[in-house]
Amino acid sequence: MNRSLLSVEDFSLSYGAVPALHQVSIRIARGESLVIVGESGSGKSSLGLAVMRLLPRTARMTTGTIRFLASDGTSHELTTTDATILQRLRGKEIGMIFQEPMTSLNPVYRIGDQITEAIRFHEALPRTAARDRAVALLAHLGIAEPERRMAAFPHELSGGLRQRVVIAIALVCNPSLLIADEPTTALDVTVQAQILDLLKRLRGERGMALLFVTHHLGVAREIADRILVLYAGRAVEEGPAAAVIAHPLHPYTRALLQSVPRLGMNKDEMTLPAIGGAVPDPAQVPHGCAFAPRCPSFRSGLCDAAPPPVTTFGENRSVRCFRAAELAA
Amino acid sequence: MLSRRGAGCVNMPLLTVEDLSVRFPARRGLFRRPALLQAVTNVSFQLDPGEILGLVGESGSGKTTIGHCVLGLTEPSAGRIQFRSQDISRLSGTTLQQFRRAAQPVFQDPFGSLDPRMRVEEILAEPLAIHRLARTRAAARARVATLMDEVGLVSALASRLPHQLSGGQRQRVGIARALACDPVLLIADEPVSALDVSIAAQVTNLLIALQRRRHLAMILIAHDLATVCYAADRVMVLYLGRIMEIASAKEIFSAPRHPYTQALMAAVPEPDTGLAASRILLDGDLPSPLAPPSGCVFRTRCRHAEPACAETIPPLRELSPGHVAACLRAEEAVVRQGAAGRAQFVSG
Ligand SMILES: Nc1ncnc2c1ncn2[C@@H]1O[C@H](COP(=O)(O)OP(=O)(O)O)[C@@H](O)[C@H]1O
Ligand SMILES: Nc1ncnc2c1ncn2[C@@H]1O[C@H](COP(=O)(O)OP(=O)(O)O)[C@@H](O)[C@H]1O
Ligand code: SF4
Ligand SMILES: [Mg+2]
Ligand SMILES: [Mg+2]
Repeated sequence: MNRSLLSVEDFSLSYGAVPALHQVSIRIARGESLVIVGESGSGKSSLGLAVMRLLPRTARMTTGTIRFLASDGTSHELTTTDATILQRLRGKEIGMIFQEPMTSLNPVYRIGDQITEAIRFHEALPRTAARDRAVALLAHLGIAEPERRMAAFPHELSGGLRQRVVIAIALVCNPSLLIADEPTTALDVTVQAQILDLLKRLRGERGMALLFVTHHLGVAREIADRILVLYAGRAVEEGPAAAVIAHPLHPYTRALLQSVPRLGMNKDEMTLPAIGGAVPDPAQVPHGCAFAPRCPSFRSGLCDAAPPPVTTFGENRSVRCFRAAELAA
Repeated sequence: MLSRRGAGCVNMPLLTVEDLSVRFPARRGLFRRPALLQAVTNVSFQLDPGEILGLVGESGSGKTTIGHCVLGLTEPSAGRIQFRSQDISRLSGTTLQQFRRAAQPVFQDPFGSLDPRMRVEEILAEPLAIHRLARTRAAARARVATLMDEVGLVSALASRLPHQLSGGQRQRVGIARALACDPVLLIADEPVSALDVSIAAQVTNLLIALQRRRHLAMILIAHDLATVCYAADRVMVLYLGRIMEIASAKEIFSAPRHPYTQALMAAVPEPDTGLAASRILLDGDLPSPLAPPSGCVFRTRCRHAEPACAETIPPLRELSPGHVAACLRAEEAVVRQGAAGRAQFVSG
């Protein structure tokens, strides 16, 4: 029996008639961190939103299931469960943070009130007790002078502080799963490093599982137990983070990894290995392998004939590429 | 230095920025009296023809403001900017027109800077018309075709509107538009920050190829230190509007001498190595630019700060030829060892 905390099986999604996700499956165990990596438009946010059932009305789920194991041992099919149960799971068991913290904060309320309200929404605590809890949480998240910050409005805080506040709100009820959609993409590298550190620490302390979305493999490496690479709505590679980064098996993962400029590279010595072309228009994804037009390992007659099947390597690595076995050797 | 410029040669720097300071009026809260926000303080640097100078620093460090001053879009509160030995604040008439052509911006978000109702060919023809660079329509069309080719846009895209282009294509249009007037200086403000890594690499390669082919000088603003060190010849590190360090790109990477540069470097998440394990996590945020710390502005977040750092504003000192840093302790062993942090980590 499948006892994963979260298991998405064979999930497909379209916006109107335009497909965005194709039979994607993910599993996250308790306390585990899965990072979804891919260029923009690959469907990362759609996946996170689907789990929270926060997709816009135009989104249509065409295949698959999303199961979540609640702390009381009950299993819920998130795509169909009724709204009251979903409401209870959100926030209490599943928290979510977005790239732009302002999307989760109300600009006209002081942040102290917003955190306190979040606490009281889930727990029958007197106001003052909830406030104390909020202050303690801010302090725990490394916010200096938490009492004073409680009185601030969101726009009075820096991007990094705002993101900490959003994390605080997501964590008030100790969720067993945190979904984080590019939470550091809009931040300076220095602040990004702080937030990544904070998330790592919180995971350690709380045994919280993480579904983290990023387009940056360096960030993925920091926070991932496992990595899933999405391309044009398809899972093209999955495996333990260290293995995927040290030995990427899919040509796309390889190319993505190579295209990150490394410190110490110099233009006089090399040209940056870019991936030619661009992600296909979702309405015009090639019939064979979606990556074929950009792939350095493309083989005519093979890669453009049919969609590549999934090849597995060992227990926990899988790749969607015709030439995977050959390239892995 | 002599050999680079040629002994006795008249090769002047293309751009000389001297003691540039920019203050903005800023209101602290609703009813309190207005204060001055010091966005840039005493910034001086030179740029040679054909040279790429990288500007890095956290947001709010004054990078964009410096770029705007160089383009003549923001008026300095103090200091002087000379372009080919002419003070740009004194330009008028033809010389101003020439300067406007010679120094061109490339923006982070080409979407925001491209008219959504204009087709690519119209966007590119506009500067040609403004600066009367094409005599006939046929000449303009030919010029647009050449520009598109130069930045790697296929001619089929000429009739597209900006929203019908991908992010990478839009940035290429932004670059082509900047090139339309044959500039000698590009001010590229975060040109690849909004792009996916794969596309960012394409655009970075394009900028370098253009710089080589056209011998362009460039101020390249980017928050990704790896990109800056890759693409730039020299790098200038800014913090709260002040210069912390300037060195060749190679030295900034291999021997950063300012603790802030070292901290920035350690915060780059690299896929192969991760964040430097021994990393210097900068605590807290940038202090308010309305109340910058006394002495060294970085001292409140510096792991090497000592009492003297609160007293004295560290002057920019030359530590080796072409390498300057504004840290009182730049020569001391503890700071120099910090410098090796990332490099050691990368190799070990
Ligand atoms: N609300 C929406 N309406 C229509 N299409 C959408 C919507 N949101 C996302 N899409 C499309 O779905 C695909 C996946 O988008 P998204 O999940 O946002 O990817 P990512 O987060 O990886 O950038 C893209 O092609 C995008 O244009
Ligand atoms: N027009 C303006 N009015 C008031 N303050 C400004 C203005 N432009 C920039 N600033 C302030 O000047 C400082 C430097 O900003 P900027 O040059 O944009 O830095 P960067 O590009 O490095 O992020 C910041 O504190 C910013 O808030
Ligand atoms: S299936 Fe073919 S085109 Fe697709 S990634 Fe593998 S080698 Fe490249
Ligand atoms: Mg997204
Ligand atoms: Mg800026």
